[in-house]
Amino acid sequence: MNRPALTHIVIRRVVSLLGLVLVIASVAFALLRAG
Amino acid sequence: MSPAVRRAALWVGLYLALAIAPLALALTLGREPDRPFLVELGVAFGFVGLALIGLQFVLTARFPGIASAYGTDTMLQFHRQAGLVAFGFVIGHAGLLLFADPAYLSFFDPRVNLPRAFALSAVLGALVLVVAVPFVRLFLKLPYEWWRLTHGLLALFILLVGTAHVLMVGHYVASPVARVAWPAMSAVAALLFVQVRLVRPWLLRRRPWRVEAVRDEGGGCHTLVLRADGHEGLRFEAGQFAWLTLGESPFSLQQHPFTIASSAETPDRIEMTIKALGDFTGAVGRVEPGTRAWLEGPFGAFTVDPDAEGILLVAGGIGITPMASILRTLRDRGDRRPVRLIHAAPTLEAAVLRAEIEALEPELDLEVTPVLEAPPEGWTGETGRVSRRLLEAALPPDPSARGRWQAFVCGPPPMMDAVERDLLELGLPRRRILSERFNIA
Repeated sequence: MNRPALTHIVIRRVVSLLGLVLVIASVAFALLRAG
Repeated sequence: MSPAVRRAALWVGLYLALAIAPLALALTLGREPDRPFLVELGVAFGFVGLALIGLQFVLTARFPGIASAYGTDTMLQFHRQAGLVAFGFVIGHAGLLLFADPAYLSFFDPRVNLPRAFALSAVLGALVLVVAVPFVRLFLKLPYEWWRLTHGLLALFILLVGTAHVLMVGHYVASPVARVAWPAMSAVAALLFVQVRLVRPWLLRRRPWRVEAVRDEGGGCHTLVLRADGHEGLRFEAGQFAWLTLGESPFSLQQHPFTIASSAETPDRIEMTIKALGDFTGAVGRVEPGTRAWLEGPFGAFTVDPDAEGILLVAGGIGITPMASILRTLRDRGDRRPVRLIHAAPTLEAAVLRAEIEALEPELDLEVTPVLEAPPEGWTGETGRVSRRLLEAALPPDPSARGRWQAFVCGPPPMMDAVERDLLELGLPRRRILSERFNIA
């Protein structure tokens, strides 16, 4: 079985991590703003 | 941390800062009354989603600095993945708000506000098209150039309507900074789009090329020989690629990326060896000498480091083209560093440029190992696929010397995946393994 390419894996991980950080930032924003 | 990793981290950090900027702006300048958590979360998702869509235009704007540091390939892979994340945020925005308060459904109600309902529904439709079409384009037989244009225009439409939506809803945009920042972001993205589609072709007008000859290389491949028409040509590094347009106008929708196969020492005479795979590439063999052509570039980071002590090239099929450029350039420069080429192909006929490259052996410190999956009768060379044994034999036996070599891999994705993994296991540092894959859509 072929696994995806290294660069592809690295990019996917970086983007997934970015997405996670952005979700956390959004939750933090909502917590700070929510009444 | 190596300088390359630090630089990459800096870019990713900048990207993250720009994606979060709208939230920071809303948090520091917003004076709005408090709303429920889910509503605020939905709003945050919308802001982030829109910022990510704006950033998509930056990723595809072909900035030479960024593209040459990471390769256009990496940028496009990032663009693809980031597009999916942006899509998730925008869908999350609509979903969370509707879940938190079904009254938001009125945004889609044509009886409440027809233009708004129409625009927002169209944006959701456009989003689905932008994200889904790349996955089904080949199945739908949608021509590449039409996909490329509609992809850009739909994305621009989404960004402009999204920005108008932010300003019209009016929440968190009371401050003058926010009222300027959102349209400014859209304007920058729109300008980048115009720059790629109009300004760059316009600049190309002063640098025309002519097709000097078209050579049949066998195996469904043709080499276009292009001659600079009244200018000094295109300065590039061996292994890079350029966008090619054929025909009288550089504004043609037909712009395709191809690796340059000729030597970097002859910038006014450029060869591109192209395999017939689609509508455009299939017609290359029928191009008449004398045809006007346009080249935009160079792009790509698939290039030899001056400090590499040796070079391992692993090519599969048409993946030989950047290797051909590297070898021809080394020859023209009298560079005698050791070069080992593993040239894999399904058949002897599909091993394009084989004879020409083997003819370079006396002029370089070059050893070529052809590997055929289906060899002809009487073949005494390697058969099957590029194995770890072949790679090991091509590299120096001393592991520390291996670390100072540089490996280039270009070919079908399954081959590249296997070779990259084997090279890592054989002790080549990741930064010394360069791979080029063209999988734009």
